[in-house]
Amino acid sequence: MAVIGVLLAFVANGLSPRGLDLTRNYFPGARLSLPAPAAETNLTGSAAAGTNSPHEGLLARLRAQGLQPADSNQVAQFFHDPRRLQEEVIFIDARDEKQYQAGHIPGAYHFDRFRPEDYLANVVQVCLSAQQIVFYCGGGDCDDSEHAAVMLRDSLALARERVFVYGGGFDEWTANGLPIELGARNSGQLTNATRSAVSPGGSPATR
Amino acid sequence: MNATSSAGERRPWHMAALGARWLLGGLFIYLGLIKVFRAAEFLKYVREQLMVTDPFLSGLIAAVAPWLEVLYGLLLLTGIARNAAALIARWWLGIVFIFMGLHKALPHPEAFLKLVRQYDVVTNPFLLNSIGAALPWFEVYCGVLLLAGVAVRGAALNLAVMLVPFTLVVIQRALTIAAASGLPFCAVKFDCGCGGGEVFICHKVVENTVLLLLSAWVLSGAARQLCLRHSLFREKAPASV
Repeated sequence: MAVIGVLLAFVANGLSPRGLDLTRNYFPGARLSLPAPAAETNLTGSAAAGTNSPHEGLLARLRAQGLQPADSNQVAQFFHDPRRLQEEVIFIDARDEKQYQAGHIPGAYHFDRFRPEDYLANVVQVCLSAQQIVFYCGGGDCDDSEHAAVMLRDSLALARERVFVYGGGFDEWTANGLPIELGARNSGQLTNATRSAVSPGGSPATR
Repeated sequence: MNATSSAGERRPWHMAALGARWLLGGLFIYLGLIKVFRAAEFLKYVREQLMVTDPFLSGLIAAVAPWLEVLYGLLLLTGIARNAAALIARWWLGIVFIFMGLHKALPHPEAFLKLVRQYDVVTNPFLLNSIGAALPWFEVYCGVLLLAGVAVRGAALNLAVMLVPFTLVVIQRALTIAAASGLPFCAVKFDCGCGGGEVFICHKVVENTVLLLLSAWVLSGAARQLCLRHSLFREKAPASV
């Protein structure tokens, strides 16, 4: 009975339009130590605050993958860089569709690495022509930006010095009161919303 | 003489079953009252995790469901309407697993995959993907069997076999988080990938204990009413619990 159940489960996954591809490596790159639990934003209380180790762990992880970390100052500079208007500096949001629609860095392209086939057409050309590409996701324990960066960098043979990962992510961006764009890219709906207003019901698990 | 001996052999089993029933009743009352005292939190859970967006319906569920849990707990404690209670246990177990399975499988199975990966138990991509792909649907499968009353004991056994190791790895992860963050164990809150979003670990352990006890109860042969086919094979009639 259990065997039948397992077989049916695989069939259901195969039939599901959102089913997982068993042969694909969803977490490319070398096996890396996972973020220290204290770094997780989904803990209650503030015990995780005030320690540098999660940040250092993130930096070490990014460097091990040949990715350049970008802090909030650097990201703000990229955002205000006039070259952004010519798309020589671009942002890529690696969160899921719902979170992107709820708010993203203005002008950021969307790239959900779990559904690359849906987004590659939009990002390939801009990635090839951009001088600086900044990937981000939710921040905290989210590592989708890293995986998306590795995926696009390796598949498009992008130079390493052009690829940046904003570890603080969208959480830090909104916490800093920077502008966000609602809905589709270049929708023109700009606002300075707080985090709670832009991620309704957003679970860290889905970042 | 034989009857006396048989009754004597059954006594420890009956005592254990009685103890389990009382424990289950107490836990249901606890779970219900916790929701009553944390009404706003439970309402948020209904809206966000159960995805009941209609304000009236979500409010109704949040107001009524906790008291139904308390009532069910009292039924178990008193032993009233035991057959009906067993049937409710089977249906409740089925609905919970169907919901939790679908919550993981749709619409973002990759979110569940990421959570499984965080346990660091499986590193091989194919194995990891297999767990992420099959486990949610397997839970749905077991839930449907329980709800329909097909191969009931087998389905309950599957759930019990899954619940024990899952609960242990969730506790282990919570202990790691508690040690790293300095939080008390019961203050640790995280998404364990169980299908209900973020939960406090102690609450999760209570919930899993309830699910395990219910599975064991159904596995013992209870809840035979309204079954399409309780057993796929012929079996002996079980002792009444």
